[in-house]
Amino acid sequence: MSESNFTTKFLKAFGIDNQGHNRRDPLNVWVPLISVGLALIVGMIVIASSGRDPFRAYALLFGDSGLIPGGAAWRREFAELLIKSAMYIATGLSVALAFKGGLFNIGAEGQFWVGAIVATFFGYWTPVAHTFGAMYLALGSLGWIAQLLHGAICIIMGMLAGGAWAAVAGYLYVKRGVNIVIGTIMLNWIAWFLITSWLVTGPMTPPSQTFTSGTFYVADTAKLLRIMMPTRLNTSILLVLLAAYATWFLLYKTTIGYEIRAIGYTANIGMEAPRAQGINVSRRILQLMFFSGSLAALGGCFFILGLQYQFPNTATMGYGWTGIGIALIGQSEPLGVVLAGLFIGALRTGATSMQVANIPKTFSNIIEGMTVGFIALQVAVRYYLVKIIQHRRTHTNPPADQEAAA
Amino acid sequence: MKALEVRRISKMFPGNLANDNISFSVEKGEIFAIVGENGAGKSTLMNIIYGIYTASSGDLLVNGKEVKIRSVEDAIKLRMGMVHQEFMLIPRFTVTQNIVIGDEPHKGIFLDYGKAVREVRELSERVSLTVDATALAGDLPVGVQQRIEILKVLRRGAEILIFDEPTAVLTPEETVELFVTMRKLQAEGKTILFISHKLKEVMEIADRIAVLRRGKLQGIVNKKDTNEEELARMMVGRNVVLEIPKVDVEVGAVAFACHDLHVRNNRGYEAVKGMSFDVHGGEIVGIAGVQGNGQDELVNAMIGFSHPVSGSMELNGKNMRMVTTAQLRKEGMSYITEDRGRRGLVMPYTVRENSVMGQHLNRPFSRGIRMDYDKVGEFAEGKVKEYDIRPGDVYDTAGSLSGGNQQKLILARELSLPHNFLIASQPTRGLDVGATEFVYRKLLEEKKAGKAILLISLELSEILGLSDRILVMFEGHIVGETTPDKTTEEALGLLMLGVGIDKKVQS
Amino acid sequence: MNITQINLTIAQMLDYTTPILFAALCGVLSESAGVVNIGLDGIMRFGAFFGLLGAFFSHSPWIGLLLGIAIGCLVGALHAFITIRWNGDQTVAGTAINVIAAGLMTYLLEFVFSTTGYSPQLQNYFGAQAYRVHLPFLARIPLLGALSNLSFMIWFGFICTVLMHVLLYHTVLGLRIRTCGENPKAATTLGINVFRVRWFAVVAGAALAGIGGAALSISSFSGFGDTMPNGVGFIGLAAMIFGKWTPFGALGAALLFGTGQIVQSIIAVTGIAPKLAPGLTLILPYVLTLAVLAGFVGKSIAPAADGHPYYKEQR
Repeated sequence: MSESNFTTKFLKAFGIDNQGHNRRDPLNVWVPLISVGLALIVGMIVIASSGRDPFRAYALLFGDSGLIPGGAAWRREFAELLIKSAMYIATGLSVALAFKGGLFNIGAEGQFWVGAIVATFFGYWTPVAHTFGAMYLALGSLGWIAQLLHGAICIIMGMLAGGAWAAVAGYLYVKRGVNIVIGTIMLNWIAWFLITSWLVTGPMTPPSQTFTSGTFYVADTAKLLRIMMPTRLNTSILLVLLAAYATWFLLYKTTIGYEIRAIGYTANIGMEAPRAQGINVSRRILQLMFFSGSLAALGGCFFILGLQYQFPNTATMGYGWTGIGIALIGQSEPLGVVLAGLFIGALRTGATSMQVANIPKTFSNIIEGMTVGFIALQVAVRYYLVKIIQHRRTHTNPPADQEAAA
Repeated sequence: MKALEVRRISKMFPGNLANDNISFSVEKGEIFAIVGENGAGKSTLMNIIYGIYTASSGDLLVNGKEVKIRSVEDAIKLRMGMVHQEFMLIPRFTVTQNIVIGDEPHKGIFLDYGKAVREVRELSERVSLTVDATALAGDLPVGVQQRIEILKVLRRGAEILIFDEPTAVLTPEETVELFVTMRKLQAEGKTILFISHKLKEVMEIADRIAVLRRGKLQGIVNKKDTNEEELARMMVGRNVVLEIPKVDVEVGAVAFACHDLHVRNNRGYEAVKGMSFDVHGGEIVGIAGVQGNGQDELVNAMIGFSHPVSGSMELNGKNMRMVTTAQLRKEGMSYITEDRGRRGLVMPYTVRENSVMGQHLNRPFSRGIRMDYDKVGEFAEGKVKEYDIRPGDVYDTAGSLSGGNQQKLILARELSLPHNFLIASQPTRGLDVGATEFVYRKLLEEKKAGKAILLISLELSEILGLSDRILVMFEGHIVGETTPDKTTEEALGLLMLGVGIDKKVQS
Repeated sequence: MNITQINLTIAQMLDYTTPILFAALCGVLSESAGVVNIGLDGIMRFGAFFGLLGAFFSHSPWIGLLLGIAIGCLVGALHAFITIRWNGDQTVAGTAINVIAAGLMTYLLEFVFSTTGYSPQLQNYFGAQAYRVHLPFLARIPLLGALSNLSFMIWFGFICTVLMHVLLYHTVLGLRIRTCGENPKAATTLGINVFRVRWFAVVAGAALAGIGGAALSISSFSGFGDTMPNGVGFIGLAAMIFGKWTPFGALGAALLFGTGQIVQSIIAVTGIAPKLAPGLTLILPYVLTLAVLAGFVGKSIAPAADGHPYYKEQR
């Protein structure tokens, strides 16, 4: 009883509500950094307690993450880092944008795969593929135009589909009162099973192949251009940076973003203020879910058009879930999401090398999960941070200063 | 014997002395009423007695012994019980379950539901509060739900019962029943504290009446030595009257009109029961009334938050009954709310962002989908100067401003919208004298500019000082129409408390 | 389709049902008290691995089960610590548990067994019959024959359903749990410690998810696969909603969804329908759940205070 009481008092004292945080609070930057730091420390303990050398492990992890230039393999690692990050940033932006509107889009995973499968389809579907193939040949040295157009069509269709998929959850929320978390979770699995247990093993597979082969391969014109030979780095990182900029622009430079943020800030008190000012809250929520879903789908398009060139039978879930962590670490700000996405991409890249030290590459999941966990615990993190700061103040300054600070 | 004694209780909230040195004692077996306007400090006092708040200073004595009540559990142990204004019922539970939670008849770890039902039936028979012990609480009418609350308290062995505005949600018939119950409880020797602002009821049921005003005890009177008029005077008192200059403007065309408007509240109960009135350009129409008589529902209908069940509503001659807030605003409705935190402003937004909400789609604040925050900033800077919004940084969040400055920001925004009809709902609630004066000045300027203004207020001095016409609202009806020069605060006060209104007006 | 085939199908269906049922029961208990636990998929993963670990090293399925319960409680306590003690966001905390489970179990699988993908099969250590319940008298009754030789976990699931029903609807604690999920403020005015009740519900619920995980690895698959529980936790979540947040409702939904999982083999055996893509049947639980939530088919309503952190009266 007493413990909750002091939590409440603490929350009130620092103007923190249960959903978010005080906007001008400098702790907003520190909380994710400290969460990452704590997660890395816990990760070291995990490694050490399984009898391995944490310092060697981390040296491998960060040395081969692509973050630190130099070494023979750096170019390749750097390329891998960017390829991975592009997909994570896309799903991270998706979740972050929804957060800004006060919605927890836990369904970035499903939207990612919907985008992927639709991009695959428009990548190989004969009428489209042949048109652009013919155009490519006809244009000769200007063939890149056909590549650009075909890729663009795949991405646009994928994003539309992913957006529509998310908008279903938005519709169910606005019109039928279905909680957005539950709605998007259910749609995740519906998308996943429809794709992996039906489309990828049936209608979209070449008839001569076995069912384990995945779908048709997309046409060459649909593939994203490579920009750093001989690595497989492609334009996805540029596109996702563009998407991050677009998200930032949407949020902070447009009327829609202005309304979305007003809705997000008042989501837990009934959104009365925006409604009283004549803002159509339902329509904005639907649009927001659409935008959010299309960002996640963009990641799915990268997965197909930049990496796999088909929808493989071996795809595993995780991109959308990772996006949640990235949005949280990035504090739902587009720039933060980009940085968090690069960090997680680096972890994933470096984790592959940790296998040398007998550490499975899923180790990065542990770090991610721990980070998200510490962010969930942010009230505690903030509480102890403030306590530490106050402790130092009382020791270094006379009490008068404290009064001024308060 | 004294069942409860309150000695010099004070309660300080930041910037507000809610209870100021209050002392009284309640005899065992007495029905003791505490009356006062909203914000007079009644609820604070009850929350202190029931252990939800702790007093800043003062003592409590129960049955002659000094006690410390730190929590609700302490209060329950001292045999106190409170029937909350907002029922603490779980609609999905049966009546019996609701009554026994927290003190359940049991065999080992098992709930003895049969015994619980029997106990509830016995209890309800003994105190003649009829309830269907096995019905779902949510299916029952409000009056019966209240009976459940009373039974809950009685079952815990309460000797001192606190009723917090128990009639607020009841129909007249249910109120009569409640009073029968209260008398019966009194006959059994229970002590009852009855909180209300409805004088007629208080005069009907109470033995003694304490009147609170602005946190201070105005006096304690015996029912037989007083009358409604005296109580009303004690309750309303003489507020600090601000000098409000008279402004004469030629009255223009009808801006807003409604006819036989019926509106339901969120419980589905009709709260506005056939109101008809109009507001002309260049006049301020004041709606006086005690809170909870349908004002909120009326406003909700007028701003498009809820649609009236029947009747007509027109703005500038256009039918506005089933339209959205956006359409109303487009037609020229502006709205100043008392609920600044929820409805007026987006608190985490800056002054700049808040200043244009509602007109952010218009030029120059946006072009197409693109917001022009530079123009928004210029606009906000201008308004901050014009309205003297402090501290004056347009990048401050609205939540960091004082109440008065928040209200100035709302005024700045609403009055700069293209409008010809202004709804001002308790526009000075919680404001200091300076800010209040500012609001008055702005409203009069609006009137001079030929706008139609509907002022809804609980403050009589405000209604009398500003309005050209006054409508008195009581239980969802307009029970009187007058002008400031033909009435007094006392007369209005009586009217809005339902004194001297014969039944035919109400029905 | 002969009796043996029918019996086999029923037994197989029940094997699928059990982990779903335990997950759903976890959700029912936790959400009845007002705490959403979408981390139950992750808790099942913990339970599956540690259940296997216990059974593997002790050569006893029972020790495995106990270890599954223990780890469930531990992870549940973590969820409770974040969401109840520190009012953390329940969905974020659940996501964290899911992600940690995904990484940590793979890590431990490689660390303990030096393999990837699959753990060693348990049957090699104590045989498939060690945890089976033999009821020979049932074997002679035509349709109940399927029940004559089932895994203990299946029966345990049925028992837990009944126990949960008794707990929630016939005990003092159950009434209080439901009060905390419906109106924690009212609970406080009646002298109930909302925090303690919620702690109990979350931890006890997580223990059930742990059992569900152990059932998956010890009984259903006799080993731990790296993709476990393959979304079973989320099907459990769906079953909880489809079953309207009640234990018997959850059982019904789990049976329905369990049947959905084996529809393929039924079709294959009987040939009663043309071959259907598995994807079209696997989505059934989720589609039905959405339909129920949206009110297209009946209506399922969560406890009123479900998912809301509780702050004691502000002073």
